[in-house]
This record gives sequence, structure tokens and C-alpha cells, in this order.
Amino acid sequence: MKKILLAAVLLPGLTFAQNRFAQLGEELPTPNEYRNAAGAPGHAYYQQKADYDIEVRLDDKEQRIYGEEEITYTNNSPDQLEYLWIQLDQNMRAQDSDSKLITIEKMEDFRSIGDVARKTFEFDGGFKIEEVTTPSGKNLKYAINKTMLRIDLDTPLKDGASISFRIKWWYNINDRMKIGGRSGYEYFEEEDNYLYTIAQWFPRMCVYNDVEGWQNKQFLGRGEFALAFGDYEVAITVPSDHIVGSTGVLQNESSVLTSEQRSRLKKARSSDSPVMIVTQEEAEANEKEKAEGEKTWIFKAENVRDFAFASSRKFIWDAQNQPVAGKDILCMSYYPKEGNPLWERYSTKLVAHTVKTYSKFTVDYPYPVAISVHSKWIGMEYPMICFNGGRPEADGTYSERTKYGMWGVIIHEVGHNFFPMIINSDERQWTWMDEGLNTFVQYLTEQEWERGYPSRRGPAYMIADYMRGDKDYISPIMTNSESIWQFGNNAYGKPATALNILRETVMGRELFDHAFKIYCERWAFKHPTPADFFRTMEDASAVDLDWFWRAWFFTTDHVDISLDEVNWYELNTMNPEIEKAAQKESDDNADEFIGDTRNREQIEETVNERDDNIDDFYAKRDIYEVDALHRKDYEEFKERLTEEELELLNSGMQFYELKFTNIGGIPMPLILRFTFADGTEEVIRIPAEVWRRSEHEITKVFMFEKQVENIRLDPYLETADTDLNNNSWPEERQPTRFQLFRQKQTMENPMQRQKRVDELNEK
Amino acid sequence: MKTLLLIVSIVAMPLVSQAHDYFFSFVEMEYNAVSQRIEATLTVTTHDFERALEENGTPIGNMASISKEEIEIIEKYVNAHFTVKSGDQKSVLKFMGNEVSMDGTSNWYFESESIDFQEELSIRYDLLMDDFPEQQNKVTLYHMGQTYTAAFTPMNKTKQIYIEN
Repeated sequence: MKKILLAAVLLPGLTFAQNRFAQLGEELPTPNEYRNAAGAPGHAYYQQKADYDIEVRLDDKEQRIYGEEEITYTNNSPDQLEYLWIQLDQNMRAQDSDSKLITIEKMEDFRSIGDVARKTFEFDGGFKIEEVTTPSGKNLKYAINKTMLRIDLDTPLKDGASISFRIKWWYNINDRMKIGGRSGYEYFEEEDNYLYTIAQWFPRMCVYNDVEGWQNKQFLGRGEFALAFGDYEVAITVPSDHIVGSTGVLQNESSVLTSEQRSRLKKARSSDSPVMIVTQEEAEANEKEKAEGEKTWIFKAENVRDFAFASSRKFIWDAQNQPVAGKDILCMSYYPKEGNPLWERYSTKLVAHTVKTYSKFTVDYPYPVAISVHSKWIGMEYPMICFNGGRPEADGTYSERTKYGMWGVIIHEVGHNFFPMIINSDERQWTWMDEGLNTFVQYLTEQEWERGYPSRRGPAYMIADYMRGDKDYISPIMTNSESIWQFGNNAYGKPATALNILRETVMGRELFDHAFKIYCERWAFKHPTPADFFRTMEDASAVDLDWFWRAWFFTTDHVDISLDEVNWYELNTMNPEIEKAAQKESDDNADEFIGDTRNREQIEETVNERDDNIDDFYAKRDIYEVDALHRKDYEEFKERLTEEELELLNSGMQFYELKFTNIGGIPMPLILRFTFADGTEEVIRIPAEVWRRSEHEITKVFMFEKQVENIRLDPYLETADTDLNNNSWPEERQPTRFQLFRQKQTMENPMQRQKRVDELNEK
Repeated sequence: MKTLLLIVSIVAMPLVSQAHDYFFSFVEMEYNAVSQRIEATLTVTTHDFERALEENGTPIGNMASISKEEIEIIEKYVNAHFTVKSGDQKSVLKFMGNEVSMDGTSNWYFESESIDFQEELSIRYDLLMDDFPEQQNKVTLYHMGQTYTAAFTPMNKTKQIYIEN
């Protein structure tokens, strides 16, 4: 019901409960000369360099890797280092690995013979370190602590100094199809062939920096890697009929490729569509016969944080060029016949699209190659190369879901070149910094691949089911990689959603894209931390986002803002002709007590109706009558007003006081769509700071010159509001998924509809 | 006291961890006071569901087009892993339909037989947990204008919801 607004006296809020809008002071490290308050590398920022010269041999008979490396480590820190730490990530598969010991188990895990077989399966994994020596062969003192190896130096490594040392090792490659893993091999029993995707295959330097000192968190299997940049020269010896795809640029084409293959590769370097280097027919012929000899493929890679490769005699190979900022990127795919027809058609085109689109939103892709390698179902990333799932059925058909699954994983894993291979965050500490940011740009890239692409993550509304309600098993995004509940939603989905909300709703695309690109440019080929990201996004946009980081990254709160009440007011015009008439209409239309209605019908005549002397002045007066005094008062009132005030008074202004409650805890902008009686609409966006002085409940008054019929909060599903049932006035219950399904069931199906279309066409 | 372990002789397919799996499913359900039935939608990661059914020894050929026999398998599987107890009554769910989305998820629609909704509901929701140690599930119940949620893990497969009638 409309209320008349007589007077408004606004009293400022006297209490300031501002926890959710407090600045992120204690939560973030103090800025310093290494990382400044703007979120950029400070004037004394440094990072270490680790260069590798490696010879590796893939033993296809025993499925083993034999390697020998010389690492040259340069200490760019201001500190003297008494010892060096090296990562031995393969040791996660060692028989005494902590990863097995810390796995929670129940008897339910042993319900089938298959379960028992898996639990009792023993694999002799882990690095077998044979030597750690100086380049001249003198033994170095070292100690192994599970997945890490410490070299004790005779004299500390001074700042600015370099040291070289050699490590020799071997390990058994894991059967990825049996025991899992980011790398390993797949065995194709039918032709007795292997497809190797080899990673974490050599002892790698740990990061030493101003944040953690030496990276000292063991590899337990989930929190991935923290790695220093460096230059690599790697000689990979494989069976002579294998094709190798690798991080880096091939240095000895003439030794390992046929002249025909080299000619095709040359053509691919200037082609904007995939050119076959090894065709399916050639690969099928190759996989049938096993050569006895070996070949050594030599690759060089500059300024990378890691090195991976794939090798198989089953590989089909295609390539095309993708220019980025005037530089040519050779995009390539390696896949067995089992990947076709999907892979030949899409993989390399997806690689090209991904490097091009990510370059637009982040930094120009800096490496000369980008590679997608087929694996049955995993997705895993390394510099310039990644291993991606998506395998059609054995008969060559595939479902639409398989196609989208393959597209998504290729875009995601190629995208990892940017996060964390280039913008090199510490994955061991913060999964969200690479997975979350990457999933966000993946979403943007998918949408540019196909209009309406069914992205799994990114749109705000898609995270609502995860975030709402019971928080027993949810962690804040700012949780260490090993301790996260709900890895996929927490480290991929929620941060990607949060960035999407920043871009679409809180900051707007222009400000967000600028700040996000600044972050990427600042931290390309460096080691950013969460604080560097948070600070840069604010510093480059002039948007204080501390409340947003606090709510979305440091808590498990969710978004549920309720539109509780709408009170409608209209200005009192003071014009007696209008107000008296309005009062009469209101009184006439007021609900009547049933006793009054019945009395009017059943009491034939009252005393005052019978006796004229009963009614006095009060009984006889017409309270709706406008008299001369009313008119005089009104004229005097008007004379006190300016012309503008008078115009406003007569404007017919409608006032709507809306009351909102923040049920979920995350303060968010209020996006309101007002639909008016004349059918028109207006959208009003109120920044989240409206909650800054009253976290739980606020009111806001909206003025219009026409009546509102309907109000909808978050009409474009952009805030991840988890309960849409309290977002409308008048109240509107959203149908459940089940109800929507039922509604669809009652409608004609697409074939029935087509039949009607055909009938219409026949006429 | 030692308990004999009954091994089910299913030769299970190898189940290996994938780098980027999802391990999350949820149920949105509402009690239809007119029909006195629970209307529930299970949303799952389709390939997780496929692999769990394979592991169960009952693979489904094509999730987008399931046969009558496969419906029975799915009904049995879901009823074994999602139950609502109200007093001494236990839900029995009947498959109503499914929709497979290209974003990797699928919705599975179920309706229970008639059941009285009492103040305390005991919900067990351990779908996929036998196969994926990191699986978490969540139930959202809409009832009489209120929303209730409960999260489940392999260590906490059953939870109580107290409803305001």
C-alpha cells in the first residue's frame, strides 16, 4: 500500500561495524624493497637462475629414464647460501613415500578384489640417485629428505656467484593408466607400444626467494611446483622410430627428421592451418615395426621454469603458425591414431587460438612453440607443452561431451603456459594463483572460440551450489594447496568466478582488463604472491578491493542478499484538492469490518437517523470538503516555494524504500531492475560500499516519476547469489530444477515440433 | 574382535586419479506437500558418475540415452547412495529423467514414493564416495519457504536436518 511521505529527517548511522570493509592490513605481508605496496616487484627484487644441461635416455624395453645433468645455479639474492635444495618429485612414488602414509583409508576402500589389488600394488618408483658431484667428478656431500635433496657446500655460495654440479639418476616410469600420475606411460597392448608423457623427470632446483627462503614444502601429490627460471639444453635419446615433442626448439632436425618431414615442417611454419608432419597413415605404419637403434633429439629452451617431453612411435604430428605481436609461434600437436578424428581436426587450432587469446588478456606469448600432446584422460601442463585428454570411441565416433571436454582441457592446459609457466606463482603454496587465474582466462578464451560455449566454470551463477549453506567442508581460497577442501571448486571455480564478478560487476571490463594485464606484465618471468596480485589489481584501477579480497578469498561466506521489504511512498503535494480526494479514495477503498457491513444491512434506522437533533457540527461536517481556508493555506505554502521546488512537488514522484539483508555474509553490489506500470524498465547498480557501515541490513530509497510494478535483485545472475527466491518484489519463487524438468516434460519434444514444422511447410 | 572381510568379486576397472577432477555432486530437493513425495535433482560430474558405475560393475553405455535396464541400474545405485529417513520411513526414489549438459555435468531427476516429512530428517548422501576419496556432496532442501543445506564427505556420510514445520 502506498504511504504518504510527510517529512524525512535523515539521521546518520551512529555505529560503524566495518569489519568486512576493513583494509587488508594484517592479512598481507608488509611491502618492502622486494615487493612494493603497489604490488610490483620492488627496486631490490631478485630471483635465482638455474640452467640445465641434460642428457636423458628413454628405455622403451624397461620403461625407465636414465639421466645425467649439470646444473648451473646463480645466486642473485643478497644472501649467502650454505646449502642448495633440489626437488626430487618422483620420490612421491617411492615405496616409503609420505603420500601413501597420509592417505586416509577405511575398510570400505577394500570392498572389491580390484580395490585390494590396487592397495597392495607395489611400484618401485622414485629417483635412484647415483651420483652428486662437481663437474670434475668430485663427490659432493648431500642428504635426501623424502622429495627433496640438500647439497651441503664447502663454502657458502656468495651473492652474485654461480655454482655448477652434476647429478646422475634413473627411475622407473609409472604406468599412468594403472596408478595415475601427471606423467608416465600408456601401454597399447594390441600393438605392444607405449606412449610416454615425461615430466618431473629430473632433479630440479627449488626456488629460493624473499618470501619463503628455500621452498621447503614436501611434494605430497597435490600442491604442484615452485621452480626457478633458467635455460635448458636437453639431449633426449629414444628408440629411433619414436617422434619426440618437447619443451624448447629442436636443434638437430636433420639428424632426427626425414627430408620430407623437414619440408612439411617448413611449410607449417608459414601456414595458418595445420600441416601434417607425420600423417596417420605414416604413424600407423611406424607403430607396426619396432626399430632397434636409437636417435638423440636435442632441444634448447630459454627462460623456462621446467622441461617436459613426450615420445612414441605412435605419434601423428601436425603444426601451424600463429603470429602473436609480430612473432611467429609454431603450434603443434602429437597424438596417436586413437585420438582421431578429434585431434587432427581441432587440437592445433585450439593451441593457436589459446596462445592468441591469452596474449590479448595477459602478456604476449613469448616462446617459439606451443604443443598439445594427446593422453587418454589427464590434463597437465609444462612450459610450451601440455598433455591433454579427450579420446574418441574405438570406432572413431565421439560424443559431443567428449568434444567439449577435449576443447576445454586443451585450452586450459595450453593456457597454463601463462599461469604459472610465465607468471610464475608458487603452486606448492597457492593452487588458486595459477588454476584460478587460468580457469578465468580459459572462460574468456572458450567464449571467443564458440559463441555460447558451455563453459564449466566462470559464470557467477555456476558457483552458487558450492558456496551456499553448510560450510563444514569448505575452505577459504587463501588455503595452502595441500589443505584445500574441494580442490576443483575452491582453487579453480571460485577464484575464476570471483575474477569474473570483478570484471563484469565490481570494476567493469575496461578497468579490470587494464589492471589484470598490468599484473601479468609486472610478474611475467617472476615469482608473484597473492599480495602482489591483490595490490596490483587495486593500484592499477583505483578501486579499493580489500573488502572483495577479504570476503571472497579469506572467508567461506557466500552471497545471499535478500530483498526483504518494499515500502511505497508518494510526496504530499499539500494541494487540498488532490490530497482530500486521495484521502477519500483511500478511505472508500479501505477494507471494512464485517460487523459494520452487517449492521448497515440489518439495522434499519439508527437514533441519529431518526432524530435530527442528534447530529452536531462534528457529525455533519464533510471531512473531504475543500474550503476557502484550505485553499488560502495552500496558496501561502506555494508562495514560500521556489519554482523548482514547486515543480518537484507536482512531479508525482514515487518513493520506494527497499530493505535488504545480507544473509550470506559477502557484501556485494545491489543490481536492481525496476519494471514500471507502463512496461518500461530501469536498472540501477549500487556499489557494494553501500554495506560499509551496516553489514547486515540496509535500506535504500529509490525515486521515480512512475509507479513500480516489479523489482528484481541481481536480474542478470552476476553476483553468485545462492538464493534467488528472496530477490523479487512481489515475491517470486524460482522453480526448482525438478519443476523445470517437469515443465519441459509437458511440452512437445523437438521431434514433435519438427513434425508440425514439416506439416506447415507442406501446406 | 576380528571381522571377516567379504570381498565382492568384481574385477574393477583401474581407477586412477586425474589431475583436474571435480569430485562434487549436489542434490536439490523439495518436499511436495500435495503428493507427499520428495522431488530431487542430483547434479553430478558426468564422467565421474560414469566411472563410478563402471567401478560398480554396471557400466552405462550412453548417459544421454539410457535403456530401461540401465534406468534400473541407476535407480538402484542412487537409492544405495542417497537416502532420506523420516521417522521409521526411508525414501525410495524412482527415476524420472535425466539431462546431460555439454559443460560436463548432468542432472538426474528422481521422485520418491509417498513419505511423511517429520521434524528430523536423517540424510545419507555418499554418491561416488566409494570411488573418489575426495568426493564431497551437498544437499539443498527447500521446504515451506526455508532453505536447509548439508555437506557430506567420506568421513561424514550422514547428517540430520531439523525442519521447521
